Formats: sequence, structure tokens, C-alpha cells
Amino acid sequence: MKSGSPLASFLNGVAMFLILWLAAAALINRPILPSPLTVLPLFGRLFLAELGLHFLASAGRVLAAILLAVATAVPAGLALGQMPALNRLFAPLIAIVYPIPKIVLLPVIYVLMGITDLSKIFLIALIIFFPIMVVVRDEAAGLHHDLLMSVRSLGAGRRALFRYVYLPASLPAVLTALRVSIGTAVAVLFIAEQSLTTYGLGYYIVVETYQVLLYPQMYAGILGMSLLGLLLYFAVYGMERRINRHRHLEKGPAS
Amino acid sequence: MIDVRAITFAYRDQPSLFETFRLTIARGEILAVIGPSGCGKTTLLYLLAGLYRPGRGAIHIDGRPLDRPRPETGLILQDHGLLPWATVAANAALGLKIRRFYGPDGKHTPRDFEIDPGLVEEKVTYWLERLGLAALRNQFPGQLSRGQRQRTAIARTMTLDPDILLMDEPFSALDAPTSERLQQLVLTLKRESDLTTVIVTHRIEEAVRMGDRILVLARETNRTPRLVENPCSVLANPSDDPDFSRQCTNIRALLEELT
Repeated sequence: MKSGSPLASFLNGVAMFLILWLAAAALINRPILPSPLTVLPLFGRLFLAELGLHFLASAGRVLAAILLAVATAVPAGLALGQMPALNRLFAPLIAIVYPIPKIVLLPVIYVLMGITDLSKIFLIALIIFFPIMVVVRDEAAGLHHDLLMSVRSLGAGRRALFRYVYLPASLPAVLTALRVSIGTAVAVLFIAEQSLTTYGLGYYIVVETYQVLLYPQMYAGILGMSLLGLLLYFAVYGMERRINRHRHLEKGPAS
Repeated sequence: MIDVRAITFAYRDQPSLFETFRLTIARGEILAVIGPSGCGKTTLLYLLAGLYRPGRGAIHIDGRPLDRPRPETGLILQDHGLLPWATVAANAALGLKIRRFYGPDGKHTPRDFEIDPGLVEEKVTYWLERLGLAALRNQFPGQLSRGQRQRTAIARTMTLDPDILLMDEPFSALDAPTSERLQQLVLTLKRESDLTTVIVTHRIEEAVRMGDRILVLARETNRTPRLVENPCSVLANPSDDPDFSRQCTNIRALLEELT
């Protein structure tokens, strides 16, 4: 099943991407699409200065939102998964609310919470919250009765069951849900950062560069945002691989 | 040791499985429980483990009423009892880790339990070696054969120094030689630690081979226990013995009478 190392495959992807970008820039030949040969050195320079601060501001918001979402969605999912009556009560509501694109609530949240960092973080957390809660609920509800019984027979009460069974059982699903929703989270961050802030990649791309026609700088910002999404994605993916070790192993010899 | 005092138990909206059911099990005894599926064999085991509560009546162990799982009782289920994401060693250590998690509170963990981090590793290593699992300690349950998984579950229970062992169909999914080796192992462990053992099975030969007494359950409500004394269990190689076959025929007749 192995086809080269993940790093080689990653570098391959980057090389192909850059070649396509170069070709497109040469073909279109307009200021709106500068060549990577212009953008990449500029990105390096800017990232060590001002752009780096915008990057940090954005990264901080996404991480805070992820933390907030996980810290609320996991207990909620566990509660729903362990209490069928509670789940039956809330399932119809969740089914309706889950598919609503939460970004439409942006104006409401801004009015209610003010245009602050907190409201931006809240909006992103809201988007990540539902997929995580739903997978944790399903994992908790799907645990085998015998497994729970035998761990309880070892002396585990509610707290130990949570620590040794429910948490490790739902962690892989939490990470998968997180990885899948990171794209949306960064996209929403981009939109949320366009209003009334002074630091953040969304602000940098739209207000500081695009609106004043600094296209190469704008591309440096776009690269920064892409890098943010990429780093988050691969960080979560790496964690997933580590804890899912038991799913990728071959069967040993029988005895 | 185990005193079942007139218990009644029914699942919601279903006829009672047990009604004023009484049973005593002596220390060091092996009781084999046999009966058709749906007769309440496994339910009885969960009741003895303190995982289910009887509707009426009570179960006393060593004179004390059982109202929650008792830390000295080991329960081994047919399958699905191991954490799929943890290695053999981590699974075997789970019971001890849970004890350390709570500390000696007398409720989840016996009061005299010593919390020594070195002890966990030492005990796990001892039991893995004892049960022939040392080479598999870093494997995951999904990589093991059923027999190896069953031995891992036994190791996990034995690390806790149990005095009661409850087993649900522990050998039924195994091939004959593996199943016989494991039966022998359980008999050895039982002799060594004077374990009171309850083995649920649907195989007549297994019941006759293992049980000091055999409890036959019926699919309708069980009131008075049908207990068969079984001198055959002490025989070294019971399969050639005419008494063994006679006892099997006996139990089979009793089971057919009930269904």
C-alpha cells in the first residue's frame, strides 16, 4: 500500500502547484496574477515582519475557536450518546440546526456580542461545534455493551469510564470531524476578519493589500492563509495517524 | 461465599427471568451454568457481578449485600471486552490503572490496595508471561486470535487478584485444542487462588468437564434452581470415561425436558 514517503508526495504536490502557478501567470500576464518568483521572496520577507503578526492573530483565533468548540462539543456529545432519552429529545433540533450555514448568523452575533475577537471566535467555534458533537454522540452510543460492562466490572465508575473508554473511543472521530471542518473554519475566519480589526490575515488580504492594489502583497497574505489551513490540517492529520495506529496494522500470526 | 437470596429479575416489558430464585455457591467451587439461549444465563452473571440489580431480593457475597460491582470480582465476557485501541499490555493493565485512578476508596478499589507504580508493570508482566502473551504485549486486540484475546482478558482480571471469577461463554468461539488448553488453565488458576468460579456455557461437554455442580436454566421463569452434582469434573481425561458420557446424556435429557 506504500507509494513513496508522505514527505516526497507532499513536495511533489508543491512542485506541481508552483509549475501550474508559473504557467498561469505567464499566460494571463496581468498584475492580478503575479508570478510565484515575485511572490515567494516577498512572502519570506513579509512573513518575518508585519505579515507574521497577522498570521499569529489569525492562528490564535482559529485555535481558540477549536479549543472552545472541542471543550463544549465533546461533553455535549458524550451526554447525548450516553442518554438515549436526552438524544431522542434533541435529535430533531440538531438535525435542523446542523446543516444551517452558521456564517449567516454573523450579523446577529456581531450585534449581540459586539465586533470583537470573542464574537469572531464564537462564530468559528459554532461552525466546528456541530460536526464534533454529532460524531462524539454516535461514537459514544455505538460502544459495545459488553465492553462497557467489562470495564465497569473492573471497578470503573462514571469518571473512569469517561477517561478510559469514552474519551479514547471518540478521540479519532473528533479529530476527523475537526480535520474536515478546518477548511470551513479558515474560510469563515477570512470573512470575519474583514470587519473592524487591525490584525488578521483576512484584514491584511482585503483591506491592507487588495483595496490598495498591492497584488504581490495580497498574494503573500493568501499564501499565509493557505499555510494556516495547511498546517492545521496536517497537525490534526498527524494526531489522527498516531492514535489510529491500531487500525492500520496487519493481523499477526494466529496461534 | 455467594448467596443469592430470593431474587426476582425481569427486563422491561418482559416476563420474569428469575422469581424468588435462590442459590448458594461455596468458596472455591466451580458452578457451570447451562441452558438454551434467552434463559438468563448471562443476566445471572451480570447480577452476580453487581452490574444489574435484582428487582426484589438481594445477592450477598461474604455476608455483604451486593449493590455495585465488587472490586474483587472478575468478569470475563465472550468477546468485545477489550479496548480495541489499546495494546495487549495496556489492556491487561486497565484494571490496575482504574484502581490507581480512584485510589483505595473501598468502593472502586479495595481499601488495602497499594498504589505502587512499579507494581502495575510487574503484575502485568507476570500475568502476560504466565499466560503466554509476553511476545504479543505490543499487539492490538484486532491482531490477535480469539484464544489470545480471551487470554488477555483473563490476564487483565488476574492482575486484580480476584476471589470470584465470572465467565460468559469463555471458550465457545475457540477451536477444540485451544478451548481445552484454556479450560485447563482456568482449572489451574482456580486451584491456585481458591477462586470461586461461575462459567456460563451452552456446551454440555464443557459444563460437565468444568463444573463441580451444573445449574440448568429454563427459558421460562426460573424459580427453583435445577442443580446437578457433577463428580466428573475432577477426572483427568474425562472424554474417555463412561461416567462422563453418562453425565452428558443426563444433562442433555434435562435440557430437552426444559425446552
